[in-house]
Amino acid sequence: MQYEAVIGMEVHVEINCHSKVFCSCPSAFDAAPNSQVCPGCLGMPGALPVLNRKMVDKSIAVGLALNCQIARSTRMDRKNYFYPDLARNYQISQDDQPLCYAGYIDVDVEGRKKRIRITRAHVEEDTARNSHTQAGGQSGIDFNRSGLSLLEIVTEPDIRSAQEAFAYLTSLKQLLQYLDVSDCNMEEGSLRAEANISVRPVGAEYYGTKTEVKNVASFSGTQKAIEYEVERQIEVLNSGGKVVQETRGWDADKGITVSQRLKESAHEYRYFPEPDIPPIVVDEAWIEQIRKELPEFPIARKERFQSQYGLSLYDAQVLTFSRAMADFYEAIVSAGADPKKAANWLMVELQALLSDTKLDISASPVSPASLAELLALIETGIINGKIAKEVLVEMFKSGAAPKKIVEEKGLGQISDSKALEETIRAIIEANPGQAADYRAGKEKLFDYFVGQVMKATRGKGNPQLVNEILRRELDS
Amino acid sequence: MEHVTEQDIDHYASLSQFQLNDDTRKRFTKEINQILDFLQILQKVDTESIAPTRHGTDRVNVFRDDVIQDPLPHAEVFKNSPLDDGVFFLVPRIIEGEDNS
Amino acid sequence: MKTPWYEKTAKEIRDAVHQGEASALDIVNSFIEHADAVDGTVGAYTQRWSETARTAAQRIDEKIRKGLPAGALAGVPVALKESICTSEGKTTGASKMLADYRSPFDATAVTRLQQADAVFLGKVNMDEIGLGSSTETSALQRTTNPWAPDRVPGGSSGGSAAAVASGTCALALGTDTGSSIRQPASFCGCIGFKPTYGRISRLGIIGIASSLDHVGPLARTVEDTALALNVLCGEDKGDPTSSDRPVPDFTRSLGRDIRGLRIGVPKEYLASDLDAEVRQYVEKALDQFRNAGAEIVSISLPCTGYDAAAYTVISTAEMSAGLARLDGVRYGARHPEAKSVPDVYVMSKSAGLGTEVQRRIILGTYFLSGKNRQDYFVKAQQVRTVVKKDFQNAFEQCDIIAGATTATAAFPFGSKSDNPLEMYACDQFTVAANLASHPALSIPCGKTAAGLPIGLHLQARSYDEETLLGAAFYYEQHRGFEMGFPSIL
Repeated sequence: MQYEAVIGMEVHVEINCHSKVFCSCPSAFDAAPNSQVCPGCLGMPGALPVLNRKMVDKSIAVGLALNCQIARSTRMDRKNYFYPDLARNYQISQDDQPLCYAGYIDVDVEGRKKRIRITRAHVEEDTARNSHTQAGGQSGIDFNRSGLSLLEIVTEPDIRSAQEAFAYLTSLKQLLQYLDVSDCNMEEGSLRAEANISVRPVGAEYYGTKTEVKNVASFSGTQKAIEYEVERQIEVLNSGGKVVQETRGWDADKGITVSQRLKESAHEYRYFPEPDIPPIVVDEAWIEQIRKELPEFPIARKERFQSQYGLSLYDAQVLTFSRAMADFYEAIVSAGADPKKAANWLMVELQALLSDTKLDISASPVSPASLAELLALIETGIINGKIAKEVLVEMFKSGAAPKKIVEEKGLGQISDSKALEETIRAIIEANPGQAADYRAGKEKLFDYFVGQVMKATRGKGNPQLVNEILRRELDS
Repeated sequence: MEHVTEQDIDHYASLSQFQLNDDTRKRFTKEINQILDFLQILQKVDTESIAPTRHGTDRVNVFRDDVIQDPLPHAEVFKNSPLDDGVFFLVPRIIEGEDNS
Repeated sequence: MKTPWYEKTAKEIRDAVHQGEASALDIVNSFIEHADAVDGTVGAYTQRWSETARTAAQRIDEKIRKGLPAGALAGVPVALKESICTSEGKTTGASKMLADYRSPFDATAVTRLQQADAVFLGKVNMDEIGLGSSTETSALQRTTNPWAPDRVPGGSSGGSAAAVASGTCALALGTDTGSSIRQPASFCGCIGFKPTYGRISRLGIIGIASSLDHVGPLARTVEDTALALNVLCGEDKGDPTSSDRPVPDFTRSLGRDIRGLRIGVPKEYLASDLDAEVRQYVEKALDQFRNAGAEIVSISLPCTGYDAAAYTVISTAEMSAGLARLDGVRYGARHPEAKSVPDVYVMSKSAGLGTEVQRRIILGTYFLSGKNRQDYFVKAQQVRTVVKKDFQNAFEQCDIIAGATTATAAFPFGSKSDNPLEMYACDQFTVAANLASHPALSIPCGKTAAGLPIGLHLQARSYDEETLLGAAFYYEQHRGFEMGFPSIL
């Protein structure tokens, strides 16, 4: 029998607020354990949660970007369960009234457009982090992560392959980064993806029994885990077995999923409205305010780059892959650079330097303005392209302005015709034989003279001027 | 009329992480059934199309600005801790998937 | 003989300190010595902070000497309920689970009192975590009713009421989720005030049921109550459910003319099984209001009876989550034999929390589970709306609703501990104010033949504490008796 996969994704994204979602503790990633906690993060008696408005703003922005409806009236709820990483033994989350719901995202799967519906995106708090490496058979708990702003984004079971899941995650990450709401770093845990996977005969309307795959540390890992799990379920069915509803962990070393809890105990979360946090009412004005501040999204920007700057589809795609790259590019252009040259220099020359040093564009030591300045030096003939590349390397190393480098190193082209005339006359005098041969019709020797001039000027002779003067002097 | 059995009481006790001895279980079962009998009065109230009151406050949209304040000093963090190593709070080794609820 | 300081009101103490007529230290010492003498019998105090109290008093005296402004409660000795977080001493909630718990911060109410130069004499007993109506569920000690040593002081703020009544503090802070300030005030013959929900910040209160929990003062006079409210009320950015409405000067409502004031008497209250003496004194109080020109209106509160049922469901459901944090992981008494994480929870909670706490948490868990959530919890929340509407309707016909705080005067120890329904019935007249958020107080209106105080329960519209205080003040001035102090002391 032919089977198809039915996959829904649950993604938890840490939203990059300065402080946590319900208290004023800092939210930095790599602080010493338990150094960013307060009575609220530790669930101490008497502590009360106060919702961070920024988190609501950013969540609404994500909702709008995902074409969601925004709840006009919503609230926070308590989700009750006991676990050592849960400071109050209830998590403040949202139950039946998520802030954002009923949206979709269009993703590109190998050139084919696929629409994935978003069920909901809701606000909640992160839990503490457990570490199992303590001595004496104990686990340690670090509450720094307790209370970080978390947005849980859930899709409908619209995904049909591991490849589509990968495309979804990539597009989602791109969108979240465009919104500047998260750094989406899976290794640091600021983006965590879980897949609900089932299989069914192609064409069937029903859903098969699903498993939930967790513990994946990268997008490509997710893709591999889903591929494995889909195959595993098909094999189970083909051999006459039944898929068991359970949570399975991805073992990246072995490349397999492993059952985590055979008995998926019917979790009774006993949700109820959080009485400590007043209801949230979102009016049209609030939504419009956020809509106004939304950035241009990747697809629209890519199309605009093609039409406005005359870029190829490929170039536009590369330049709009991240908002930082696209912003960098547009900053170069708006500083006066030619759009096509700006695209080339950014994508080829600067990108090579960034890749070598493993730096992100946002950390580039060369600013858009100075790259534009470098392009202007070429444009006005002060340096040629070859020298410009050397200058860029220097700019990248020292962060100095291109003009300053050109001046200090004496890299500017010699465009002084008097000086060039003297040099050229001296060269002709020193090579009387070649000069005579040239004048006798051996035209190839012209290049020889150009080479000599360039050697004498250490490559700085303005090529056009050198040609002009040489021809005049030799022909005279 | 709804009544709970001793098994039910054990279930709700374990959801709340209590272990009851036989006497307490019997007693709670009896008392909670008395309370449930008393609560039947609720069914007499017509609540058709009545919105639930979920909060004590009549306010909405009470937020804080995204501003950082000093966290607890280290000594205060562990002052009440039953077991810690000065870096982490310690508990017996957590077994993944150990059913705690 | 001159009246000792401990018999004076907070107002008298504050004025004497402000005017330099007495030193805060002398005043505080008077209370400390009185507590030394009588609290052994009463057992209100669980922690005595005599040394820090003296130091605080000296600082206030220093301020006065230097001519610096002193606060609105300068030198006034205050007792704090064990469930109110203080960075000083312990905050135990009268529970074994928190027997050694030291809060890293002060409750907002505590900070405000401190800023007003009140002096804390220590902490006082309560029912464990606030669950009870007699202070008998305390894991710490027994507190007796200062008027009758064989009787309970009421609860859960039994220690607060007993301390105020016995003169071992001038003011006390309590908390009230269903009756916990007003019922003990009624039993101990003092004033207990539950303001509108949100008037006083809940930040730093060991919460029971967040949508019902209130903080409030217990005092011996209405004027002292108003002084305390002036200091305690006001928005707190740390409690998003605190009210941002402006806070009036509550002392200005004292001395209001009550002619024309409409006092509603719900027929359901009088129809209930009121003790005969309680009924007699409540009716006498109503006569006094009538004689003073107030209009007594017969009203109806159809919600009487099912308000207590809704309260039982909502309060236990909320506390089943709110108290889940008491688990021995980050703080609290972890069971020494716990070998696994489930052990830590089950063994620590089962040993650290008392029977009443366990029963109510289990009950609340039941109400939130599966379809019970709709049948009980959501239903109770809807009934809560009905209760609010009943009161809105009633307050269109009257400005104050009057009745008894409790059906009986203080009961003997052990008489109700085994019957949760009887114990919950202690709240029958008081829980509606918690459900509907409006302010209410209990003020003594007489004593039984056996010498036990009886409380008059007055309720007013939300945010209209002033009408409530005005009526209570008038009554206090004209009720024709002084509560005085218990003779056993």
